[in-house]
Amino acid sequence: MAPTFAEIAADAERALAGLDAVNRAIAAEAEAIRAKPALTAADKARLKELAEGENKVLDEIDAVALDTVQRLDATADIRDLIARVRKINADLNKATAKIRKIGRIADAVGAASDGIKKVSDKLAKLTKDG
Amino acid sequence: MRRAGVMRCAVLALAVGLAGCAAPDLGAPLTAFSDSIGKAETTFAKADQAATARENQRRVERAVAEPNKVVRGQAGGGECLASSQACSLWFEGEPLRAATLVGQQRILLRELGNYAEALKQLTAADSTGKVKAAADKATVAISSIATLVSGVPAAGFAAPVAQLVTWIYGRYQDNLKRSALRHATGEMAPVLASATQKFATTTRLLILPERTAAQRDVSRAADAFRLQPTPAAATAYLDKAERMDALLKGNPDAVFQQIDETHKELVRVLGDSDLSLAELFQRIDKLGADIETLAKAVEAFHKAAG
Repeated sequence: MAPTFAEIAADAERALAGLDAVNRAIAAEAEAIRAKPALTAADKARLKELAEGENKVLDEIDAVALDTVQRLDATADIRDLIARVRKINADLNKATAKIRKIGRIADAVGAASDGIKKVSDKLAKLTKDG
Repeated sequence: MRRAGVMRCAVLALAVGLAGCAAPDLGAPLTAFSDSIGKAETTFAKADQAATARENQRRVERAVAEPNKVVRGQAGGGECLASSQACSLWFEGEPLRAATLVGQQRILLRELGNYAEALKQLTAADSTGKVKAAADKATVAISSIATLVSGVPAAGFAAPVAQLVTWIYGRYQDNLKRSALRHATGEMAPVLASATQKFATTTRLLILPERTAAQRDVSRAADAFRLQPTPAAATAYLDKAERMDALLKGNPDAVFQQIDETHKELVRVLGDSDLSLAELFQRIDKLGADIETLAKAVEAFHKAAG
């Protein structure tokens, strides 16, 4: 059975929480080195290593996020929501169409009544003249 | 008994000038709802666009690492020939360049926009004018025939009957609208709650690559400034930090929450209209004398038309 939207999102959240912990650890170490009054060659080398580590972690965060959104989009939950909204819209449009149809019928009744009135007037004239 | 009930309704209608049962005014909450969906669509599309650009960059990096896996056409060949119908590049079952990462959710958002439009259309739909015109013409025609057949002038009775027909139709249309609006908003409430929650989750993920890019920029600027502390490096560091600050302050969740909140307001207005209708009928019930007057007039018409 395919995972649900909630399951996929929960998996991603767990993965991202782990990556965030690593990201924060790298940032904290880099900040500590930058805060030193003078940087040694080893500090500079370490900053470079940390920058590379940070890049990798951020790439991994991107990968989790981008893969997850595509998986979320393909879930049955989203297809089901689309179907439900379309059904609601169809019902609303049906009610609107009904009101408009009555308007068209009323136009037809009005036109027919005009005809009846004309016939009646002619009959009245004939009766009077007759 | 039934006819007396109808006549009573007609008098009630006449007593309040045929306007007693107007549909609730949904103008303001409908506009707010429609606007909030429009904002959400913009936010979502922008986030998708930025994320798709980053995803396409990743796909190209993967293709560069494994160029043998880049194929022409989804089926792994047959495209990009003079006799082909199309030409596209694919990598491991995916197009090398995606147009969107959240196509289904954008469809869902569009359908929510259609829902707002359908609510507006139903609220605006009104055939009472046409029904009134038809009823006026029909009663004139009928009274003309009645006069002809019976010899008794019946034109005086035509107007109340036309008003009766118009009022009954007005009630019917109003009930049709109320029922459809209540049903739709009731059905939509749980759908919207679920959809907005999902949009918020997806958007938080869509904007992550933009945030990681901003973090990279800030960290590189921090190192550059620390290694060579010049005014230019300080300014660059500050600029990157301010850009990231603005990114972090953006709250996409709020945009989607707004949709749900404005919809709840719609439901509330529809619910409130029940009270005003009940109050209106209470007031109308006191107009007993007029009921008798019209009942007599209509009876007289029936006799005349005989």
